[in-house]
Amino acid sequence: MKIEFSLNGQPVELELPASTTLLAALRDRLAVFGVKHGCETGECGACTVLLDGLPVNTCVMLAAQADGKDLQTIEAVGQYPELGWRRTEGLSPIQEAFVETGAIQCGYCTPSMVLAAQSLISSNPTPNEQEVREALSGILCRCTGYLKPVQAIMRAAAVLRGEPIEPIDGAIPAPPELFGAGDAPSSDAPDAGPELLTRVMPRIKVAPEVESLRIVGKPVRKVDAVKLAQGKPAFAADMEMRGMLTAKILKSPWAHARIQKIDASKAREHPGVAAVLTWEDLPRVVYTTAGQSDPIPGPLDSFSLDNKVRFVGDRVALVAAETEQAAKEALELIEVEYEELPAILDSRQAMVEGAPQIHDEPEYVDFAESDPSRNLAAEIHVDIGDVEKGFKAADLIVEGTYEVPKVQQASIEPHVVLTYWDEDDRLVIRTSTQVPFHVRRQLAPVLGLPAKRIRVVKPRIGGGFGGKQEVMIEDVAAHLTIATGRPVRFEYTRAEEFHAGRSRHPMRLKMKTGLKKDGTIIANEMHCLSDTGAYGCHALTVAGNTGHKCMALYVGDGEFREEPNIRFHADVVYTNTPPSGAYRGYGVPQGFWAVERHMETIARQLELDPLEFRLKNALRAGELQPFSTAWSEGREPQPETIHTNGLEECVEQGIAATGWAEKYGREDWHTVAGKPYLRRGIGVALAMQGTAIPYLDMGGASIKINDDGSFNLLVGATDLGTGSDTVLAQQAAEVLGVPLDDVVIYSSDTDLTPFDKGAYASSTTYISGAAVVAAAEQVAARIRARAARMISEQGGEGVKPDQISLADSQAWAPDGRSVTMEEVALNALHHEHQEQIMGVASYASPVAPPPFSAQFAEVTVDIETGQVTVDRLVLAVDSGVIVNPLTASGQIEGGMTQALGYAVSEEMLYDEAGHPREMDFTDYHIFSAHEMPVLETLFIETFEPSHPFGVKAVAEIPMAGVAPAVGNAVLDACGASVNVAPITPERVWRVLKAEA
Amino acid sequence: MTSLEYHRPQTLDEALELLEQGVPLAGGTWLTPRLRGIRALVDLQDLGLDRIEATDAALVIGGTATLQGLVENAALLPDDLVRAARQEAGWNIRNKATVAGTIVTGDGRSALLTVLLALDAELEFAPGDERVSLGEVLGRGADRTGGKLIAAIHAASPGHLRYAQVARSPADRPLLCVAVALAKADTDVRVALGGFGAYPQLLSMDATHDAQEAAKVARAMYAGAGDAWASAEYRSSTAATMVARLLTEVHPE
Repeated sequence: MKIEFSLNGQPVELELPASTTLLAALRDRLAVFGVKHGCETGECGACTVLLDGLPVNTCVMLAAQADGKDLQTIEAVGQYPELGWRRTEGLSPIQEAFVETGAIQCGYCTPSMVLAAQSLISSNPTPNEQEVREALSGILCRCTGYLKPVQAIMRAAAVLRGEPIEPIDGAIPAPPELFGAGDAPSSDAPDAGPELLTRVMPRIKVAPEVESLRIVGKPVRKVDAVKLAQGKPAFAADMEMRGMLTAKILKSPWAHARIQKIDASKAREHPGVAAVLTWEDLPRVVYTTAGQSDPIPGPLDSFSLDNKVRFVGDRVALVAAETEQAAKEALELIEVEYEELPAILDSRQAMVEGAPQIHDEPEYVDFAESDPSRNLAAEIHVDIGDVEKGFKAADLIVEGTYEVPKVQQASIEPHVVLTYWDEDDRLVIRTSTQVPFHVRRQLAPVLGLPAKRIRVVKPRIGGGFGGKQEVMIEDVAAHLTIATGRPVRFEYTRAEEFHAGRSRHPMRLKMKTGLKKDGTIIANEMHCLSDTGAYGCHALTVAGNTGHKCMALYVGDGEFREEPNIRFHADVVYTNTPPSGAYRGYGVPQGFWAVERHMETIARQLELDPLEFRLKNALRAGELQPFSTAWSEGREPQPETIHTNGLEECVEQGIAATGWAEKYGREDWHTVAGKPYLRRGIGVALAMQGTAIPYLDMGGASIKINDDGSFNLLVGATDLGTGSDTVLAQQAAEVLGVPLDDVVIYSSDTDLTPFDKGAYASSTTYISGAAVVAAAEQVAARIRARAARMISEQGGEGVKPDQISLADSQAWAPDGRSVTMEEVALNALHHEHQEQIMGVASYASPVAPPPFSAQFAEVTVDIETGQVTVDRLVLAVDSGVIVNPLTASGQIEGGMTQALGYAVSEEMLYDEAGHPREMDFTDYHIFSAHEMPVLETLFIETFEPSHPFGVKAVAEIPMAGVAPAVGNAVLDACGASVNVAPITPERVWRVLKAEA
Repeated sequence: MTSLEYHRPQTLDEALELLEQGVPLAGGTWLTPRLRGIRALVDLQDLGLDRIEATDAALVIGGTATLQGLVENAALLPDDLVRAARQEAGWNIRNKATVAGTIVTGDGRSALLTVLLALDAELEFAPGDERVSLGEVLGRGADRTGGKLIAAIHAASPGHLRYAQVARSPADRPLLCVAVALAKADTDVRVALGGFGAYPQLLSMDATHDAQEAAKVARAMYAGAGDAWASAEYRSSTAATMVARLLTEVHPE
């Protein structure tokens, strides 16, 4: 049918099938890539356009419905201000506000938010915060926690009203001593006016060592924000190629079955089908989809296609066709005969005598203690000191059993990949990945190509959170490109993400703790049963981190600080459910659910102050990380001393900021006037994460100078929306004495950039940052040498290179003489003693300095229904020096929000046949803008001596404490000790009922 | 695969004729991912069936009035009717999804259906001027409209309307929800119970004059209301709690 509409003021006429969604028409026919695909059922809002001025979701609307209408997309909003000799009006005030406030992380939902904001402000120029949140209610963001987008829109509205707004880069609001409880105004007043009640900058206790720095520690704009605010075609799927095919997967309807016969002949003959591949068509190469360094610390147990399926949603066949419709039709023409096998859906049944064996393939490659005959993907046993002796000496032993669910990373951009042969017959894989170099190395044997004939390019990616630390779908498109010779695009639907994506390992955790009457922990034991699902992705290392981080935080007091008694045992088992994998926090949120719920129970049992009890036993600076000599991820363990630990001050500041003393244990605060069925509660959880994997994680960087005195910084590090490109460029700019704009960063391209292990383990700012600093120091040394000569040749007293300082894009002699960076560059590249000034460096760390945090939560519990409302989350965190307060606080706010879902609403459950309950964002509930609690971030800086700028990690630690803090707050509110997460109304109700 | 036909009639008569061979398309937010097997769509957007009117006596909501239409007419409408519309979806979806579409596709966990049922809403069908109670329509099974169009939804303006739900988070779909409506100048209270099954259900009118009695009835009604989201035991107990709580506002002890 023919349809006509106005698109961004221009008339458009299209001939297309009536079943075409508006999203498909815009992206596939008109290449309007600012409109994104995040789901097919309208919940995520990534595909927003303004239809006659109002935001609508184009994935649940036919193009035909737009006939005769006026459409506006992000492409019509704002431009880069200077386009050569042409000047534009620049970004719109809304886009500008998103850029300056740090409201853009991955940027995938940003175009939708900007459009929604525009629609709101055009009809309501004075929105209050609630109205702004309501305007964002149809757009899911998995990165930001919505606080900064709300602030951006409030600021933009003020600008559009002609009102002055506070500069963001003013003085950092750091008080000399304690942060006051009243410093952070509540943002939830329903009748609030259009004034912004929350502050954009987080509160920071600045480390004295970095107070004089110019760029490190400052709230500079993200280097990719301007393009993301414009919705530029920066993501993997935002690319047109002539002759590109669409791929689809035939998925298993059975949880466990053998493929007896598969006949794809009818599918291959179907019009528009270019290739159908079954297990019979591909070489049988065993590998793992877990993207990790060599050697892979886990079993090799996967094939691109196999003659056995191990979960509902497992791959059966691959199809490439001219259109998505033809590919879908072909799937239905593939005839498969299955022999259904008994399935294991409960991890407790996996190692029972007589259980069906999920991995019986002869190619299976063991790692460490894996034993497929017992469905054991990995086993870990760590004994530190003598736990049994400790238990015998204990005055009290407290035991508890805790459970955490399977949850998904749920990045709004699904997994998506595009593959094609380049003119040299090298395979290009443009993919949304956190681990481009691992993709190349791990896929090479699977595809029958040497690594040198594969180029992996990671463009901007729409969130990852560990889900893309997986070589999960790249092989699908690559096999089909190899089969057809044509470009292939493969993208998961949202249902496929839930069917066959990766997830956090669900765990059952048993704690046993021996104590003295005074609260000294003298023995601590955890037994972990971890469910890796059908494949052993990250099986060993996730569970290892559960012990390595969570069981290391509490060593005991007195003599036990020197010689703690700790035992950690993990069985990681296969089940016939979708594979687990890496998810932000990597075993640590699971472990701290158990440890911090358990510590609360103990403190209450001993009638001790919960915070004093924790701090009495917690690891301190100068002490050995007790697990460092017992276990490491894939390397021999080496002793590691904790140099910095701001935990005590995190607790102190958190107490002050939350008004803990006026709430905890105060009966009057716990009740709600007029609502006798409501109880308020406050809870806390401490946590410790890691910063990179010692002796293993390596990042590389190269820097070269350009004619104009700017620099190209090339890094393998993978910015997945977190802002790592920005904080790396900041560190280079700090060393080189130039503004951030003069460091042009390009990252994550296996042909062009140095190696980096990828974005995981909270490592980039620290590991890749140290590499950047080292490369920048090399460049700075060459600049100093040349500048010293140039300045000396100007006449006057000669200067030596070590007397030169770099600042304000100039090289300065002590007496004030200087040459500009451009003059140095022209001198080096063109004038004399020509050379390319550049530096290449890499860094691997012998230590993994842990960040520490104190997470506070306030809740209201309906004691009759069990409903929990989380009112406020405050995280006080020692992440070392904060390179960029905006990107770092964005990480904390977004992390707390994901963790909030883990606490109360997110879980993936399966029926007795292994079919998932959650297939979309209606059932898998992640938090929206209009239902958020108040979020606050307090940075307590320490200066970590192993990094040139003193940084530690920030990305993962906000995931660790929210669920147990909420659990402890529920306990405080109503006495219900809920040991199974998430804390659903029914779980609270059941505990209350049992206790009644 | 047969290609899909799309029609956008300009008059109700034209639409009704086309609907003999096709399926009505309102906002499309539910239908678009479910087009399989449909031969023709009849887009209702130009029919002008989106009025929202409220007087002291009555509410009239056009079938294609959007959920956002209810929100934007908050000044005219009962607060908790608006709240239920908000509860259905975020702004983007509310800009397209319609009230009639929600009535046709909504299940027991629909806040709006629960509230409309408590309001004793009547559906005006076309063709004809037949009015059928929502309760009867919901009980019809999968085909709630019998191929007819919902031209409008009528209800008496309530003297009192309250909606409450229990969910994992404020914007999540309810595990249990209750709506209580009291007609003006009337002592009859209508209580609708939702959060489970194919559609919300109405408590017997005999029970609603006494909060504790109503709670007992609600408990019995949901005695078998277990599914993958909540157990029957929980829903049954919580239904009793919530019904008693909301009715106590109407009949203070």
